[in-house]
Amino acid sequence: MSKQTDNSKLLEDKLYPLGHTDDVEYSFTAEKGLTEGLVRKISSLKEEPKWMLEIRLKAYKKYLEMKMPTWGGDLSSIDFDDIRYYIKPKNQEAKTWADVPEAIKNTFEKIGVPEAERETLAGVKSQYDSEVVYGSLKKSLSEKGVIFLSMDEGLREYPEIVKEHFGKVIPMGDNKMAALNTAVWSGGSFVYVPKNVDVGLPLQAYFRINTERAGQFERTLIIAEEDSKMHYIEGCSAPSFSSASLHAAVVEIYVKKNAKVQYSTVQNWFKNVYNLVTKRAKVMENAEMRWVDGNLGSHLTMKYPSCILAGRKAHGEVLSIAWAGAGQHQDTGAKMIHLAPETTSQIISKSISKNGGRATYRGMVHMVPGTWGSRSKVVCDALILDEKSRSDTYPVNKIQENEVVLEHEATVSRIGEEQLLYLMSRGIKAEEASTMIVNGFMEPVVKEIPLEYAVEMNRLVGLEMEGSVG
Amino acid sequence: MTQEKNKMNIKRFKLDKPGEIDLVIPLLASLEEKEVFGVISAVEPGDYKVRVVADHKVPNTFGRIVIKGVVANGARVTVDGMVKIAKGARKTDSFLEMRILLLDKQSSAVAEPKLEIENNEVKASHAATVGKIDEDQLFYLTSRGIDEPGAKKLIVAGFLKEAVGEGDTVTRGR
Repeated sequence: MSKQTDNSKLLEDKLYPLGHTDDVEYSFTAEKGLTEGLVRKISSLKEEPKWMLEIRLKAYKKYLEMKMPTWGGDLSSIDFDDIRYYIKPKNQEAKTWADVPEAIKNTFEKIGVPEAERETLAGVKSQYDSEVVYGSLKKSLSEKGVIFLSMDEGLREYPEIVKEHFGKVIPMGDNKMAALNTAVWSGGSFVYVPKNVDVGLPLQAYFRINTERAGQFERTLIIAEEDSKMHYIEGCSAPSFSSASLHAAVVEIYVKKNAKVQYSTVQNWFKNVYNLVTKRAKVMENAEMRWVDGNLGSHLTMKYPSCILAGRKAHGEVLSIAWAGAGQHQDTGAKMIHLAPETTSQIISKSISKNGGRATYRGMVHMVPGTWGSRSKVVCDALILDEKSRSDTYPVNKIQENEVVLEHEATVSRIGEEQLLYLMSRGIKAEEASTMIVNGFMEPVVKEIPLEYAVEMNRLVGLEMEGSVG
Repeated sequence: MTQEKNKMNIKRFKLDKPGEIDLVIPLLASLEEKEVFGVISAVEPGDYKVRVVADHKVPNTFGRIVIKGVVANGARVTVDGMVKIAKGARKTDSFLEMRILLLDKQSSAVAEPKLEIENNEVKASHAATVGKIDEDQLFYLTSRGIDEPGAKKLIVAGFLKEAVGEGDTVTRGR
């Protein structure tokens, strides 16, 4: 089976130039490069209220002033002038099923992606035809008072709620990519869960009608009112085509008193994508936030889901898996900022690097003065599968209060000879045995992901491991 | 073929005044074994910074870094410890440990246990803890008639003991 990287290069060469030139009907395609005029145009096309336009313009100015980070992955090849900052969804339908590389089709087959989804994932269709599924879902949600819309619709229909919460967990000046997103955001989800409501089933980004798949600058805002409970899922483990090579999404979450939110992501963008994401939750008294983050694809991902533990006894968790194969750099981790007493956090990071890939854990635990009774535990384990690959760990633990406990541990290892021998001596082939061991290594995080995704992920690992023993 | 086992090379350092210590421990020859034990006794107000790097460049080396610190009276300590294992450095065995006791509310610490590993046939791990004196240990001593300040002194001495002692080199704070 040919390697995924070779095919995505082919795909990239064939399609990227084609991507945005065939307009049949009315649709706006931005010129390349970013200008104030474009920011205004985006806002006017969406018919946004004046206050949102003002936020975009302020953010654009900030973006111009700010510098790119000097740490992290190699961002030097991104040509910001060569990017289109606004593409209407229809324009992303760039090719036919016949153009999709065999390798990708095989992956879909092997990991069991339903027929209906394959075309969307491969970039052949930009909209997932989920009318039937979504229709009945919408009814049960509205009975509970749950709002689940695209961010554009959310702004249109609930401007007061958006105005109160937008840009307050991740201010536009937080980092250059957040400023960029705030200026040109489009798409993403708006979720509002009223007090005491338990949504029950996980809300999945793909169910929304009019979802702008492969949205470059998605903006998501989730508000979980007091005592509510919800689970949101983004992405999927099947390889996902994106016409855009730069993704800079922003996700802001409010977890109010006693609420519980889990946000699960499984990302497997094609290997031409730079995935630079800012995700942060503000967690109030006695509330719980859990980020489950699976990074399998992209050329470079820089993403550090964070929790601001602002209320007493708030709890935050990040469970993360990073898979770095040939030509990939996963620079991921977590940030926990303890601002109140008796707050707790847990970070479990499992990374695997193979075929020259580089997996980097970058994390921060900060406990300010006055956070007595707080505890944090960080466990970062890395599996390096061959001598070409690399693993790094850069944790920063800043503790300004003594009545706390911080523990951090990290181990780097490879597939143990004894483990392999144990399995092989029981009749399991070497490749299968390696796959079992890698899946076992990831298990503490994978078990928190809903079953269908977990199954896909495990099968994907199996595919990646094919031909790897030696 | 006879191979002479290198004698364990032990370095110790102590930083007891505000200042900086910057130590790079290169492991350049096969079978080298190096250990570093460091004590940070930050009881005067000020900034104390320790940077240690175990740099494994060739196969078959052993490195162990243990840094223990106590911080009081508003002192601020930063410990930046890095284990680097180069591409060809198979069979490296490296462990880095940093443990910091914050004795009062005014003091603070930044612990950065870092790793950069480019070979997979290695044993590499690290651990870091920051906290205060364990309540149970304190109770154990005070319940045997030792006054609290005395008990704390004993616990701190015991905590630091592993890192203090005779050795080849002692580096003091600048």
